Amino acid sequence: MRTLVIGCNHRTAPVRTRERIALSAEALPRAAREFRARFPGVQFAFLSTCNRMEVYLAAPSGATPRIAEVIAFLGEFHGVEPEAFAAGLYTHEDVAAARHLFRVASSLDSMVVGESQILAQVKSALEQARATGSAGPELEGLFEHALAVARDIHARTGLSAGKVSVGSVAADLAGRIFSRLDDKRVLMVGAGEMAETTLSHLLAGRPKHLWVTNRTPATAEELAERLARTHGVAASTVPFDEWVTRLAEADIAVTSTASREPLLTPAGFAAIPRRRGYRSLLIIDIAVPRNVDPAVGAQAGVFLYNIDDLQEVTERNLAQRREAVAAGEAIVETAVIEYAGRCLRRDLSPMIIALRRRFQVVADEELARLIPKLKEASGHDRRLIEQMLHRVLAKLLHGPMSLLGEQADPGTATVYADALRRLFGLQDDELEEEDHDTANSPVHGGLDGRA
Amino acid sequence: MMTGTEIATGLVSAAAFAAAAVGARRLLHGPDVRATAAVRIGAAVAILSSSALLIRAVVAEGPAAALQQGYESMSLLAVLTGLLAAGLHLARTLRGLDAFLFAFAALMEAAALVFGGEASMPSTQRPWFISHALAITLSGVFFTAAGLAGVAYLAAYRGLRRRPVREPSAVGASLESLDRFGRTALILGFPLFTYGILTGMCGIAHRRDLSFAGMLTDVTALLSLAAWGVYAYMLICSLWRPNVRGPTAAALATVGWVVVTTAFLARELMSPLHQ
Repeated sequence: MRTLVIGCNHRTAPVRTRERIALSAEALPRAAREFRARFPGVQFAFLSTCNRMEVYLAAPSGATPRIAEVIAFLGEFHGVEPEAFAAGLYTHEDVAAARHLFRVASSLDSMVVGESQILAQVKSALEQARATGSAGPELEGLFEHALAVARDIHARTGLSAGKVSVGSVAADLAGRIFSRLDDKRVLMVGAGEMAETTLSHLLAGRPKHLWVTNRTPATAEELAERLARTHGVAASTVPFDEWVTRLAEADIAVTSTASREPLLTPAGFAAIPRRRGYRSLLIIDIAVPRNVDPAVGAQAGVFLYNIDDLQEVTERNLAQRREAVAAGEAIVETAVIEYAGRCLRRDLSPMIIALRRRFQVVADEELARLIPKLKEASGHDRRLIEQMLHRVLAKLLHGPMSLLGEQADPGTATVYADALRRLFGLQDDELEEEDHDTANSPVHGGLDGRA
Repeated sequence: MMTGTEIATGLVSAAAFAAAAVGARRLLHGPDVRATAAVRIGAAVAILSSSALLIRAVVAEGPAAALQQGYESMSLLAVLTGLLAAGLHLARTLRGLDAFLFAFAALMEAAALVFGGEASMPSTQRPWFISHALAITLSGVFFTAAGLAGVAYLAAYRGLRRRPVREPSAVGASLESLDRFGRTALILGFPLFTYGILTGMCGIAHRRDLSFAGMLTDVTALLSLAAWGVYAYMLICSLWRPNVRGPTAAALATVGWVVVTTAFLARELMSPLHQ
């Protein structure tokens, strides 16, 4: 059985290349149908995310599609010339393919190491393959193993510890101050991509109300409407000259205006704590220059963070994750060895059966030649001779077969298996015959036609 | 003198509560089957074994006599604290605080082993005594919870105010949760504590050999009155003075808890009134 992965990711291909062969959720079922029609009997799964597009394949050696055929399929499916994306593709086979998937699932291969989204995406790729009937025991085994490895790495290392984006750090800080956000009011001062990204993490907690204010009321209106629509929160605008007084009601404020001078000073804030009943107030000031005077943050119950504070946390968390990479890689390597051993035992099984059958055939031939010559021997004597011959064969085969089956090191086992195959002249068709004998899945059944 | 059963139960309960505390602490880092098992099995073993011993003592000697024993009264406090911690563990809204409460319960069990060997006091066999002991013990549990929530609040608050921002403290709960929990515990504990002090005074009134003047020289009585003052101030502030909240309220809850704990421990060693 061969395992193969063909794909590209953020390191090997730019986004303009990745987007040409990306598979949307809507396109996936059709791609699966067409791929199965083109390569019947092959187990496959598509993993398509914003940072990678990969096809995982598992099939008996003789039935594996050629890499060029898969590339041609992708080109045809997307209506793109293969030359337009082939340069960015990579391929990994067997153990290397397993290692690659283990690293992908555990986010060691991600743009942001330790991100947890990829685990769900790998799981989704497996579920999609199951739903379209393209998964088989080998591919499922590989993906299940990858998911287990990823969970193990996340549990045993600090790979996914801490938040690594400014927005998620802001949301994390809000979570450390407030028990829930759905009864809180958020005030957004100013507009801008960074502020919106930061705010989107906070809005995921569905706050009770969002106020938006901007020097240009139309911009505030447009932003409030868009955020309300996108995040499903109640939103309204506040006149720009009133936002400081609105702090008396807000629990979280995100400031991001282009003002050269602080908009919120200790003097302007002095009356606010009393009016808000001294409740906690989280202020995220991501403007440069800062919109909020640092002295405001010295007041009891006020938690003021500027962009440097947030970036310092992201940097620290990223550094921690980088430290955990080595531990994660070590777990992957251990898992790869274990997986390779399991595959080897599975792959050796047909060879062992074929070898036994070869010996059996020789024994049967010799018996067929000998028995007619033993004219005086009784039926009982003949049966004794047959039993003796089979016992001898079984004893001769037992040692080597046990050694092969119990061999923990895949490299040594492969050498032994290869030697046995050569020494006894086992042909590929004999082994494939065994494959078919032991096949029990629809995918295996489908391979009959190609063998 | 403590019996062999009491010593064995105390050791088992202290160890089981400690295991639960370690497990609860580990659960802060993420789901962990072994840690969950440690918390649940540890808490169940400790609570059940100590409860069984307490029930046996109450059945054998009557509630008043049983609760006068140093070991039993401290063990009751440990069990009630453990129950509160188990409730927090299951509720999951105040992650991490359960670890502190389990640790406190383990300490109380250990303290019961150390101080519980004191000779038992003569029983008064009066209803006020049972009320007094139960009310003080229950209020002690609530004040312990409020105090630990206060400590956790201060640690988390400091971590959030520092630059660079520090990682979440040992307790993963939010400031708001800790504040609310502390306030709730105070509201529940204060009436019980007041009732406990009043029933204690009833006891003094019933005894000819004791006087109210003796309260002024009794460490436990004085500390209890001081703690009552702190909690009364906190309660008034939480109703009418909103500026005393957050870190200030947490600090007061911590101070109150230290005073109450000192009073509780002093009862066995330095309180002529109680001895």
